[in-house]
Amino acid sequence: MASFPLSLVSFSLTFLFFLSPALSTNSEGNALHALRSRFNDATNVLQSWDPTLVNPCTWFHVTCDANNHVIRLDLGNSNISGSLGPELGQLKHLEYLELYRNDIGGKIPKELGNLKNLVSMDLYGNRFEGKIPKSFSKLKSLRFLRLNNNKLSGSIPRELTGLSNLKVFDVSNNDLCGTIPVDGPFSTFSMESFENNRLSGPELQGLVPYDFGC
Amino acid sequence: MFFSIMSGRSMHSILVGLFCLAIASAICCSSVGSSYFIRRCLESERHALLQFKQDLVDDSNALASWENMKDCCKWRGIACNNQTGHVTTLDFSFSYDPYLNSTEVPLRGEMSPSLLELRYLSYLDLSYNDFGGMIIPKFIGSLSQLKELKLADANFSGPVPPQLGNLSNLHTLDLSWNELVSSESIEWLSHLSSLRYLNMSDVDLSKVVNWPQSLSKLTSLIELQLLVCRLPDVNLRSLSFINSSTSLQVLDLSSNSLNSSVFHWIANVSNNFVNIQLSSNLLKGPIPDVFTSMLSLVALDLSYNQLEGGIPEGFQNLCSLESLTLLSNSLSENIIDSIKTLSCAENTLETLNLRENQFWGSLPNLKRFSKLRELDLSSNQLNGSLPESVGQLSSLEQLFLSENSLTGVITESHFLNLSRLQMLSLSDNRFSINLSSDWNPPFQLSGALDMSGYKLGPAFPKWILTQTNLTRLYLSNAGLSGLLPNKFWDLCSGLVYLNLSMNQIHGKVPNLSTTSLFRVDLSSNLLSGAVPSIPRRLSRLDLSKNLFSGPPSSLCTTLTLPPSNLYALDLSENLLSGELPNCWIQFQNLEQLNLGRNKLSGMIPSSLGSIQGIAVLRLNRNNFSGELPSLENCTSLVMVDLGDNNLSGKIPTWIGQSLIDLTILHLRSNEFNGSIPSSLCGLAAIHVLDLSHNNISGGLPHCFNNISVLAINSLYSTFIMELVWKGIEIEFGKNLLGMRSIDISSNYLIGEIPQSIESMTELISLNLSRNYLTGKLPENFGNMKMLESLDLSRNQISGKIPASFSRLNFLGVLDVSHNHLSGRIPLSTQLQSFNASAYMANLGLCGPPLTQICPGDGTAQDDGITRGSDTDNKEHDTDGLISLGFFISTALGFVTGFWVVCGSLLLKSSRRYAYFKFLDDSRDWVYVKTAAHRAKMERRLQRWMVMSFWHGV
Repeated sequence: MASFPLSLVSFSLTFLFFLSPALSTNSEGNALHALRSRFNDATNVLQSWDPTLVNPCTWFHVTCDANNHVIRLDLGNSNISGSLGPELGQLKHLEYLELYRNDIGGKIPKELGNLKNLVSMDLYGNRFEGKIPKSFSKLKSLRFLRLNNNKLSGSIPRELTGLSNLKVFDVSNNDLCGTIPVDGPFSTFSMESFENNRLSGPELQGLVPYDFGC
Repeated sequence: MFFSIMSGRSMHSILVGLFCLAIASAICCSSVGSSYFIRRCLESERHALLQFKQDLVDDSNALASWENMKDCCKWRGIACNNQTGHVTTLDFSFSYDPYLNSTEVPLRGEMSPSLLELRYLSYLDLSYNDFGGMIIPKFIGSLSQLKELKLADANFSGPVPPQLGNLSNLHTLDLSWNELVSSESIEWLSHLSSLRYLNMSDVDLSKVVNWPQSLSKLTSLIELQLLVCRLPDVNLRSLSFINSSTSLQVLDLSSNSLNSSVFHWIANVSNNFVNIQLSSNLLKGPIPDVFTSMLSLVALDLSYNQLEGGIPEGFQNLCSLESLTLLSNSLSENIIDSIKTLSCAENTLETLNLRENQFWGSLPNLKRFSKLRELDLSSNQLNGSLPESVGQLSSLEQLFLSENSLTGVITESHFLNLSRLQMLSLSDNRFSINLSSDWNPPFQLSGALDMSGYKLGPAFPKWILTQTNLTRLYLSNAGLSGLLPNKFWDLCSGLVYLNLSMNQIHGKVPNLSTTSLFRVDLSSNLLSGAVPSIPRRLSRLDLSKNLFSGPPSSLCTTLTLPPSNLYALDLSENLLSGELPNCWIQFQNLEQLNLGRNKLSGMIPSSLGSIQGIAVLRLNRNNFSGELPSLENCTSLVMVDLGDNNLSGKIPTWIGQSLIDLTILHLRSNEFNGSIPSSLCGLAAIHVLDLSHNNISGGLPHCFNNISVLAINSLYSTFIMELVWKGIEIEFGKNLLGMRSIDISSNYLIGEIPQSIESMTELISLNLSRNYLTGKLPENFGNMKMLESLDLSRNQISGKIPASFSRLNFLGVLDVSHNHLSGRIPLSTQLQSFNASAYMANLGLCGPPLTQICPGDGTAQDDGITRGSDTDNKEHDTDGLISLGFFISTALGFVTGFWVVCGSLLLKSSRRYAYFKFLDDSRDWVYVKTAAHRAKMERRLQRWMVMSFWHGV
């Protein structure tokens, strides 16, 4: 029993250690390692994620560009449980975040909105709850955003209408409420992308509150 | 002895008479010679001893005196009773001195029952001899006078005879370090009521579940040694100890698998402990309070466990503590509190070892621990500066503080009174060093000095040159530059370990062949000139990343028999040129050879093939040419890296036949030709197979299923190697262990990709690009579900991309461009995530991410790009996406939704009102907008009306 809080202490110490500026030469590797410590990795998919290596580019399921920046994280269907943390926001060069079909729960960290180069975010088929972060409106490169089959609640942030590159958007099978934005890329998404929620219908600007039914 | 036997009241008068007689005979005999006073050995015992010797093989003539002298009492290893002449002692433990006295070897043979003739034998020590695995004979139990029995490390085996329980006079029993087994019980021990010392280390007691009860009965026991006994894990908390010993002082239960309940047993078994050793067990949780009451405790070792928390406050009572060793646990506490807890021991503590824990905070003043000889706080999380008071610890011999986060300036005053210092390690901290160049240290180190990672240079510190007794010197990454002083090379003559890597040292390396160097690392410097000749004792030499030049001919010059001790030689990344000498037969102990990244040329010398034990052979990035010599006998090879040379000829068939442990075969960028021998499929342990950029022709072997194992982890974890991984050349270390990669790109391969490739389910990277492959892709390609990187570009592969591709959900890099592929690109989150360039320049691929619309589709965006639906792992043909099932579910959804909405409207009037108001209001709102906008909104509204039926309002 006593070991639990102690391991928590040591974990948080380790975490602080990784965040300390003097050692941030490998901040992306540290961020991923912090992520790993939040995961329960039943099938050892993350075995290769060794923080003592110079950078994370030889870790499996991680892809780097020629400058050793992490651009892809491919962990779909990996039997991972646990949660995400704010450290993911440090992967400034990340283009593909593929975490679909796992057992990851908790809230989607708002720091994911810092991933300015993100092209694809696939968090579908998990147990995420809470709201879709408004900060996603900063993801100007985003083309694929699939959050379906989770337990997300609240309304679809209206700010997402500013994501002009968004081609695929799927929030079906959640617990979202309110109305559905109609501007920008949302004019093209099929209704299947919104089914099985508590959404009230299309946004009717000035007429009905955006959060109608929430 | 004599008088004690005769003592007794009834004998009083006889005693007086005998006493007079004794005096008289003493006076009488003294004129003849004192030797006659001591009885010679008895003939029967002498005979028994000779019989005992007959069963022994005395290779080094250790028992020569047994033949020269008649009086067996004077024989080596024998002692008799002065009065009776009976043999009382048989001690053959003298053959133990493996390091100093190498001429004497242990006696071998069997233990003869003739020993039973020695009825007065009280001391029997046969330790450190070799009884060839015989069972300890039962008859030893009949030597009833035995007080000490020592059979340590004498190659006995089998069960311990319970007859030893008959030796009721025994006070010392040592059966340690044999391959002895004790069956279910050590009940016999409890009869040895006089036993004071018991050592059964390495006796297998794994089945003795009642060991705590049996041992608790030994009430006279003072010292108990049960190291590596595989003591079974019994819950000691549930036991009661009524007749517990109170005399036990020394207890060593190291290297068992004991859990923390052992503390409970210890607390109850004795209160007189002086020395407790419990290292390498499975102790968890905090250090318990049981030691608090052990006021006489002098030494405590709890190393290599999983203990947490700090040093318990009760340690304040321990005022006799001399040694506290807690290394390699998970202890975490502010070091100031730990030291405070030990304050009562400040006048006694000599050894404090807290290495490899998580102690934190800054070091307090340690001045009052005046007896401290060894202080090891390495590998913790200490910060702050090192108090100058450390310099007052005048008894200090060993100071280890490496791998912490200590800061501040190290000055001469930190060492002011450390005149006895022998070992000093400060590496891997954040100190800055301020020691003047003409500092004359008060100490003369005789062990190790580790100051790696500090700026000591640019000049080599003079004070280190005064330490002429050093044996290990580590000054890696110390900012040293320029030439090394001549005096340094004098210092080298006494060194065993030398590490000056990662500096900027110039100049040449003198002849080191007369030194006793064992390991040398001078890598990553600016050293130049010829490679020095190699001292015979040297085991590891790393001169990589320097400017050494010329042919490495000195490797051969000084070597004569006996063969070199060299185990690892790394000369990579230098400017070596010319041909390699052909004298490798002399390096029979060589296991790792790295000559990569030089300018060596000519043939690879054939004598390399004579190093049978070689495991790593790296000659990459040189100009070697010609065919490979036969390495058929080098069956231990694990890694062969010959990439980037000009080697030619066919890939030898013996590679797959003989080198069955090979995990890395790197023949990249050479001029190998011919076809891939099917014997390569015999490489069952291969992790990385790189044959790319050669002139290999013919087809791919059809036996990939044979190497489907691809999973045996036999690789050295210390390997570092550059691989092309996901299109980028990158240095792999540890994770080579997990890598499974095949690269045969840029050759002249023809034919189809064989179906057997599907069986390589562990493959992570596959590159067959830039060949002339034709035919279709195997249907179950997606079975290689671990694939992260797949490059099949620039071939002539035709047909569809198999639907099974959608199962490749770890794929991070894909290129199938420049082929003859056609049809729809299968749908999956991964496959559509790649840029169109991954699929471009094919005959007729269509669907996203390409802009080409597949025949029969609407717009690419409507149905092509996957939502996060379940299309991924389903292999149905995507043409049928809008299937019957889809219509059925839509219809069902509509009906359900309709009745949910309408039904609820019928039932609940307030809701009905709200809903229609919502629609009315929205119509009003629509009217105020411009016509164009209105039309758009109405369209949307229609769509969303249907939506709202789906979910209810």
